[in-house]
Parts: sequence; structure tokens; C-alpha cells
Amino acid sequence: MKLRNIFLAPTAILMAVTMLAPLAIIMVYSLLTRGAYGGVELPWTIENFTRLWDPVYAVIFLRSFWIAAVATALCLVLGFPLAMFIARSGSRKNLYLSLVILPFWTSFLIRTYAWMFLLRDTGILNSLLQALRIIREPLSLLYNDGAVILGLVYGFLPFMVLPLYATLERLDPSLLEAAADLGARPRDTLVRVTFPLCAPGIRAGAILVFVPCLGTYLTSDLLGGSKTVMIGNLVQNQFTASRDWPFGAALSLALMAIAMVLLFAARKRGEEML
Amino acid sequence: MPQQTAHDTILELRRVSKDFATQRAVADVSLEIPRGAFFSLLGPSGCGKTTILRMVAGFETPTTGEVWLNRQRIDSLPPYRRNVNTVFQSYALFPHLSVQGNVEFGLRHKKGTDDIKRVLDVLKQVHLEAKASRKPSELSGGERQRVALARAIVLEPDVLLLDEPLSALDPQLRKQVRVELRDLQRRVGVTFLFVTHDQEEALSMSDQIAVMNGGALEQVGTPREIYAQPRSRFVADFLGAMNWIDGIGVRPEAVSICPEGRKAVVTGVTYLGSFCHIAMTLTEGGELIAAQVPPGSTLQSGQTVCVTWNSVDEIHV
Repeated sequence: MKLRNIFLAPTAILMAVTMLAPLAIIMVYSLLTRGAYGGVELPWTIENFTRLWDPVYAVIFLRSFWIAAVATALCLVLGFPLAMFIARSGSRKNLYLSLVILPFWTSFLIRTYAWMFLLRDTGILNSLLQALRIIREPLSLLYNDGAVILGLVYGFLPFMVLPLYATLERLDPSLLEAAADLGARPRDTLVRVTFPLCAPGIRAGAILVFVPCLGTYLTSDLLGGSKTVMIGNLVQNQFTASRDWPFGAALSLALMAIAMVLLFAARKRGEEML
Repeated sequence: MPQQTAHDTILELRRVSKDFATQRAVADVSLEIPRGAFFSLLGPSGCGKTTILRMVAGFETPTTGEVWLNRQRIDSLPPYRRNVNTVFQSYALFPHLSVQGNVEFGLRHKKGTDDIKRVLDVLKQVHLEAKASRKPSELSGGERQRVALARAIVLEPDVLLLDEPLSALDPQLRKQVRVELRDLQRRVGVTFLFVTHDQEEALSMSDQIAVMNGGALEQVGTPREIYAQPRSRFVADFLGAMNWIDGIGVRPEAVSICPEGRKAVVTGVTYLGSFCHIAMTLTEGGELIAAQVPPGSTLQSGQTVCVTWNSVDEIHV
């Protein structure tokens, strides 16, 4: 065995045990019948997959798509100027980059709880507005789609900023000068040069934000309450309250299949561009 | 009637200076560039020639002084409002656009048209009509340079700015492109402002050369003037090898070895194909002197010879 393969072995084994094995289990479960008290039983069935077409679940899928898409778009709109700013900051680049990833030093769970403290009826924001006599009744900032999107944008913005930064930083400044030289105003340069050349970064950032947003469960559970159910919460429900493990497994597989189709489509598109 | 200069000046720099954080890049430069001329800015790297080009293009703003193009003051206009175009040293072709896309790029903004016929005309002029749909990454260095040229001249700028456009080409190609570039300039009649550090390039292509050193202008003149009548030691040295004997300059090609003259000892003989370069030390005075002799020369190190030159070849600065 070659040396590099020996060093690769621990990772390979870890991946097999923690990724492939659970995936296989999920696949098997999705084809079995639910047990009365959770768990799975024989006989084999494909009913878990046919149930996916029930409009009740279609609505949840569509809502999840919508929320993930809005969060991704907002991350792009907010992240692009930030990435551009950092890429042009010269010697302070590294400082700003570390500020972007600074939130990772605290657990995502705790940071999401912090948003609850900020947004709830008796939270900091409402108390402040009431104290300043701007509002009388507290605004309902928590437990709605907006709160979920806010939490997702907040949590995943760095995943958009970093790949955008990587492409913008490599962008040859003389190309921007050339565009201006050829008569393009700054806005034209952005549309005709900067965006097309940053397409790989935009694509990478969009995938890195959209896919985890689509499958999120923590943010929607804490900030969305019972009103905003996303696919992740539905899956969680099947394995807890509903005690329908096979259906939960089928939902997970459906989510994974969608994510993979998207990844594949994005890659295909990337190849065309080259 | 507004006052008019004797010859038609298209671009004028009036007492232009540019300061960067730690240094003065351009110091009080005034220049007049005649319409239709092939005008070169020549100097060593860091002499300020590229900064001047960038101030004309609009990428830098002069700290003091004025830039006038076609009797219009332009030094505070953004690049996209100036009727000049640049051929960048690295060409700066848009990698996501085809050759044709690159050449069309400026037409929409500067001319408000997408005149395809004009694009193809210009591509034909630079012999790239067959490669219109290629991406820049599929082209050779020489072809890329021609795309950069086509992209700029299709806009019919008042002045075309060229920032060392030949430096990325290999030496063989460079000499050929010099001729092509000169021909193109004559054919399209656009004024060229050409930045280079290569004196041979400047001498062979230019109508006029401005020699720069340390941010300041040393001398402006025709190639013959600045080579044969340099006004400073710097210009004399920068334009070619020079012997300095008692404060008088003599070019090596003007020094001949003959039976009578000043005695010198040969210290080195270098065979260069079309001629031999002879390094010598004068017996009287001990100054170094170089000469160019026919390649068949049998001179050897250690030999004592006599050197002489015509007084008309002497350069007094």
C-alpha cells in the first residue's frame, strides 16, 4: 500500500462508518413498515415514497424551497458588496476575513437563542422600542417566516461571503480598468465583467447556503415555532412525536435527492460556462 | 478665434505632477503630442512613464497640472468619458468573451452601436477574422496582443495609449510586431502614445521620443536627435552604449582601431556575430573605451592598439 493511501485510510473508514452506513440504514428503513412504538418492521413497502406526493407535504417542501431561496438571495445581495469590500481592503483583508468567521467561535445553537432573546415579545428590541415610545404593543418579530429567514441569513452569510471573496480577490484589476477604458460605467462593468467572472464564486456560495438552508431544522424550530414547518422539522417529527421512522427516512432521502440534483445541475452549468 | 498652436496638438500635458504616498512619480512634466504622431515615452522602470499614460487614460488623477485632449480639459473626467483607449501591458482581455465579444465590448458604450461590420473590418485589419469566435485562452501571445489592439482601435480614439505592448511577446516576434504596429499606425492614422523601456523599440518606431528619468522629462525629439544629440548624460547612456573620454561622449560604433591615435590595451574581445565588441583601457588616463569592429577581427586581450574617432561623432552634453 502506498504511503498516501495509509494516511487516507482513517478518513476513508470514518466516512464509511459515519456517512455511508447511516445512509444505507436510512435507505433500508425507508422501504419498511412503521413499528407501533417507533422503529421499523417488515414487510417491505414503497408506500413511504408514494405518501410524499400528498399535497400536505408538497406544501412543506415548497415552503422550504421558498425560504431557502429567499435566504440565499439575501445572502448574495448582502454578501457581494461585503466580499468586494474585503477583497479591496489591501493589508486589512485578513482582519476583515477573521471578523466574518468570528461568529463560528460560538455555537450556532447559542447564537440562535440569542436571536430569540432579541426578537421575542418581551425581548430587547421590543422593550427598547417601547421604552422609546415608538410602539405601544410589542411587534411579533418571532415565530414567523421572516424570523426564520433572518436566522438563516445571519447563520449562513459567511458561507456566501468566503467563496465570493475568493473569486473577487483573484479578479484581475486591469480587467476593470479595461472595461472603464472601453466606455463602461461602473454599473456596466459590474454587470458585464465582474458578475460573469465571479459566476463560479456565486454558484459555490449559492450551493453552500441553499442546500443547508433547505434542510435546516434548528433555525426553523427555534425562530419559526409551530407555524413555520420546514422539511427538516417534518423529518425530526417523524422520528420523535409521530414515531414513523420509515416515512422520516423517505423524507430525508427525498431531500437528499433534491440537493444532489441541484448540485449536479449547478456543476453542469459551470462546465458549460468554461 | 481661439488661439491655435503652430502644429496641430491633439494631447497636451501642462506642468503635470503626480505624488503617491511615499514618492513623486511624475514631476512637472509638460508635453505636446502632435496629431497623427507615433510618440514614445522612453525611460527605465519607475521613471513615471506609465503613470503619465494612466493619467491620460483616467486611471490616475494628476496631483497638479492639466491634461488637454482636443482642446478639452480632461484630467478630472472618468476613463469612460475620455476619447482615448488603452492597450494594456497584460492585454487585459475579457476571458469570458470571444475575440469578437472583446472587440464589440466598447462599441455599445462609446459609440452606441453594435456595428458588426465594423468589428469584422477591424478584425480583418489585424488578421484575426478567422478567430472571431475563439476565447482569449485559445490564442497565442501575438494574437492576444492583436485583439487588444483591435478592441481599442475599433473605437477610433483620439489617442491610442500603449503600455509596453510588446514586452509579453518573445524576442523574435517582437521585432516583427514593431513593423506591423508602425504600419498599422500609419494606415489608421490614429495618434499613438507608446510607453516603453526598450530604446531600440522607441528608436525604430517613433516620430518623436520623450526620454524620462526619475519622474522628469529629460529630452524630447526625433529618434535621430536624441540618439545623436543627447542633451544629458542620462539620455546619451540610456539610448545606447557610450564611451566617456575627458567628458566627451563617443559611441562604440564611432571608435575605430587604426595605426595612429591614442594608445589603448585590449582587455576583452566579445564575438557577437555581426560584429566584435572590443573592451579596452586607454594607456593615458586609464579610461575604459569600447569599440565595434568587423567580426573577422583577430585582436586579442593584452594587445596594444591605437584608437581614434571623428570629431563629428563626439557628443558634448
